[in-house]
Amino acid sequence: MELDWSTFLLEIVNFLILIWILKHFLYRPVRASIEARRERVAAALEQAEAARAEAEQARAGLEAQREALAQERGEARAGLERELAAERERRLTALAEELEREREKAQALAERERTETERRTQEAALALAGRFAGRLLGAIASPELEAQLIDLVIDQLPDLPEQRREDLATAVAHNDAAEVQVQSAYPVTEYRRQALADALRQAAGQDVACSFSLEPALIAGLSIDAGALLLGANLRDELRFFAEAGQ
Amino acid sequence: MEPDAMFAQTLFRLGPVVIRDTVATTWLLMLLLWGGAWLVSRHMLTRPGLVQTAVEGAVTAMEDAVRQALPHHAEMVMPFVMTLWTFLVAANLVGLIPGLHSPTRDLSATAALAVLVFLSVHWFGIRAVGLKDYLRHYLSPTPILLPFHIISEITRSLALAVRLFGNMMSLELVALLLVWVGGLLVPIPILMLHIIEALVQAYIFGMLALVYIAGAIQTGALAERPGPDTEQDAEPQP
Repeated sequence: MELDWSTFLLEIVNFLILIWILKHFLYRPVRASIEARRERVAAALEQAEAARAEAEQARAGLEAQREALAQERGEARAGLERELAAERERRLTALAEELEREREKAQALAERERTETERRTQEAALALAGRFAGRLLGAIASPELEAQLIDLVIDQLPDLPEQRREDLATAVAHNDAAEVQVQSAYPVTEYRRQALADALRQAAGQDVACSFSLEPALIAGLSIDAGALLLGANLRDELRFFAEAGQ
Repeated sequence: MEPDAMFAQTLFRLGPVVIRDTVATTWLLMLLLWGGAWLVSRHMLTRPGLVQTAVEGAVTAMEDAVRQALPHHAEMVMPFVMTLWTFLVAANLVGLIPGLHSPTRDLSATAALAVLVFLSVHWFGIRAVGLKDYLRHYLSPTPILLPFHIISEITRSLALAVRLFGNMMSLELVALLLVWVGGLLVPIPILMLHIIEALVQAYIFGMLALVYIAGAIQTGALAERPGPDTEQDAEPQP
């Protein structure tokens, strides 16, 4: 149990040698191996991190692309909606204009139909009134009525307008027959023949020869034919005028 | 087993140099450790096997322990402390092999290790902070404490040697007494205790050496650059 100096010194030397041995043959290789493994792990982690960053970047890119596509889609949709609204507005305007035109056309057509209907109704009414007046006047026609009409002519001839007077004078002057043909529905008395001739001479401003004849179609009244001028004061002509005036 | 077998035996002499079984066993251990290290480090694999994993785990554990105590000087201290742990584990456990004795049951071997620790404390302390600053810490906080510092250095080294020697010696002595008293297989539980005690004593010796070295480096650093904001190694935890 005593301290042996040889053992003491040899143990010191042995331990120092053992430090060198273990340092070079155990610690250094093992630590190098561990360090190499750590570096590999770190490299793998770094590679994984790089891959993750790359994936993240790709994801961000895809996200940005998706957002851009969404924005582009939104803009396209907004543009399409604007175009649709404009097209709808344009078509609505065109449709409204067309409807307006159709409405105006329908109104014009309706107006024309109404006017035509009124005209037809009026014509029918006038025709009916003419027939009614014809039957009525035919029923009440008589020499007395005719005499009253002749008296009316005799009274109104002096009051003819100046233009009619000149026309009468011109017609009498250029009449090849040299006489005025007077037709009546009933025989005219001599007195009224003379009064009528006087009235014509006074209206024409020259002598007028009159020849009288019967024309029952006149219903009542007389018709004066001076060649270029025809004067009528009978129911037939009045009814005809009435019917033509209605048309 | 002869009672004299409990103590180191002289094998032969080379002039004035006495070769005892302690030294022979140490050489055997050195050869085994060398061969084992060579075998393990010869083909370091990317995917380590069981042995490589165990060796790497042991080295990593020892490295972490040293780095916890000395984060900034671990590379400098690591080979010494790790060799202490490795050698002491092997030396303490080799006594379980019949016919062999632990070198650490010889006071000359444990004293040699304690002296190495004693010298390494100063060596690493001076290397870390310089001779002047290292010696200055013996005078702090007051020069009056210088004798106590010196006594502390000597006694703790002596305690290192005697503690390891006493524990390992007592383990083998108890096993021998039980063989004498109870028979051949009786000391087996004590041999189990021997394993635990061998590992514990190796850990204690190496950890105390690490604490002493860390203390020397830190106290030297504090003497060199006092102040609360020092960036030197943290207070070592024994």
